[in-house]
Amino acid sequence: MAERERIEVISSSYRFTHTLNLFLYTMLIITGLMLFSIDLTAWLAYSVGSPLATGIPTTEPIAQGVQWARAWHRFLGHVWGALIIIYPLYLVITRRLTTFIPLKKGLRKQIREAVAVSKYYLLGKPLPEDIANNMDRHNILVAHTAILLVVSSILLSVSGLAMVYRDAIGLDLEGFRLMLLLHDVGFGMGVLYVLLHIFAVLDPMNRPLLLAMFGDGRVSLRWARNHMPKFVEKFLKKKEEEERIQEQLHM
Amino acid sequence: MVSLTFPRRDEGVAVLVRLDRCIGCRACQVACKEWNSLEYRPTEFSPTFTTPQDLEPNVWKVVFFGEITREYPTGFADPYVQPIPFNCVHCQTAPCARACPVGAIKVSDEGAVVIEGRECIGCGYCQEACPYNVPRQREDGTYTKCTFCVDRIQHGMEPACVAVCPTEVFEFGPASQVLASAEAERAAGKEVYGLNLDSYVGGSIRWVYSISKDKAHALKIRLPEKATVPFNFLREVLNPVIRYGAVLGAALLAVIGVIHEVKYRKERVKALKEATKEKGGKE
Repeated sequence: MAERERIEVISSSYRFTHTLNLFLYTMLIITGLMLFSIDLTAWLAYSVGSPLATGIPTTEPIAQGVQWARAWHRFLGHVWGALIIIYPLYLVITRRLTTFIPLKKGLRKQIREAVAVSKYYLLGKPLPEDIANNMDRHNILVAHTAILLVVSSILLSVSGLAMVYRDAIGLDLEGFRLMLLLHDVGFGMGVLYVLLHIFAVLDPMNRPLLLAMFGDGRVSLRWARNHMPKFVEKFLKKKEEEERIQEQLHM
Repeated sequence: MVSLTFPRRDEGVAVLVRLDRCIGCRACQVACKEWNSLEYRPTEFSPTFTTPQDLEPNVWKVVFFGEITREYPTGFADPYVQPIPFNCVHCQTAPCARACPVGAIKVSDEGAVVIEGRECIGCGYCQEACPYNVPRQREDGTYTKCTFCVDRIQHGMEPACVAVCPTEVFEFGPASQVLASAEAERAAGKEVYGLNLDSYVGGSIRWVYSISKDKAHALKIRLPEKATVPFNFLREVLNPVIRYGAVLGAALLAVIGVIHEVKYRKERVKALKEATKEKGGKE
C-alpha cells in the first residue's frame, strides 16, 4: 500500500451521527442556557421573544423567548435522547465500539499514557517512543473523556425526562429538586467534555482527523502510521486478509 | 427584567404574627380571597380544622391548625390546638425570585415578592427553590402566590388579612419598627421565628412569628427549622462554577492552543527549510 494512499478512520455513519449530535447538542446548550443563565442570554431571549410577543399583548418578550427555548429544549432533548441510545446500541451490536479499547490496558499503563498524552497537549512534549508505537485509533484520554461524556449524557437524559414527565411518573417536589440539580451537574460535565474535545481536535497534529470528520473520513496512510500505528497495523492485516480471500475466491 | 434588587432588612414593610392572640377564626383567609378575587371551591371534611389542607392556586393564605401537647411544670399535660395563619413569608432575598429564569418574580421597594403572571413560563423553579413550598401552579401552567397585598400597601393600606383580624394578631408597619417589636417579644421570653434564619433566604423573612415557649413546637407544623433547600443551594453554588469555569477553561485552553499552533508552524517551517537545503545539496 503506497504511503500516499488514504485510509478510512471515520465511518460515514459515525460522521453522520457526529454532525447530527453537534447540531442537537449546540441547540440544546443554547436553549438550555436561557433557563440556566438568563442574565447572560436575555439578549437572545428578547430577540427571539420580541416578534412572538408582538401579537400577544399580555406577554413579555423575554418570557416568550425563554418559553420558546424551553419548548424547543424539550423537543430536541427527545431527539437527542433517541440518538444517544440508538447509535451506541448499533456500535455495540455490530462490535464497532472502539473508543474504550485503551481501557483494556493495565491501570499503570493507562496512567503513564494519560500523563504522556497530557504532557503532549499541554506542554508540547513528544510522546515516549514505546507509547507512540502502541497508539491505537483512540488514546487513553479519549477513553477517559468518553466516560465523562457517557456519565454526563446519562445524567442529562434521565433527569431531563424525569422533569418533563414529572406528573406522569409522580415525581414529588424533592425528586424534582434532585433532578434539576443532576441536570445542572450533567451540563457542567458536558461543558467540560466539550472544552477538552474542542481543545484536542484543534491541536495542529490532529488537523487531518478534524478534516476527515467533516470531509470523507479518510487520512493519509503516512499520518495514520505516525499517530495510530497499532490501528494501521490491524487495518492492513484485515485488508491483506480480505485480499487473500478475494484471491482464493477467484482462483 | 432579569436583574433583582432586594430592599435591606430594615427597609420596606413587615408583619409580626403574634400567634398567642390567634383564635383561628379564619377571617384573614376569607379576606385574602375576597380582596384578591380568588375563586371559592367546596372543601372536604378532614380530621383537622385546616381547610383546605394546604395552599392552592386560589388559596394564598391558610390557617393551619396544629394539635400539640402543652406540658406544665407540675407534670400535667393537655392537648391544645394552635392556629397558624400562613402565607408566603416574603423572604429577605427571596430564593424564588433568584431562581426565576425570566425575572417574572418582582420584589417591590416595600419588600413584597410578587409573581407577575403574564411573564411566568410555568417552569416551576420558584416552587423548587422555596423552602416553604408556597408557589402553586394554576391550571394555565403559571405559578401564583400571596402578593403581600402590594396593591393595598402602595395605596397606604394594610394587607387585607391584617386589616380584618379581630384579635390584632398581625402587627403591620415599617420593617424597622416590626423587627424591633419582634425583638421585644423575644426579650419577653417568647419564641420568635423569622429573625435569624439561613443565609439562603437572606437571614430573615418579612412575616415574623412569635409564640409562647410552651407552644413553640407548633411552629414546626408549617415553618421549617432550616429555611433552606439544599439541592437548590447546591445549584446556586454550581451555576457560577460552571459559567466562570467554562469561560476560564476556554481561555486557558485557547492560550495553550495558540502556543501549540505557533510552535507547530515554526517547526514545520524549519523542517521545510532543512528539506529544501538537503534537496539543494543533493542537486
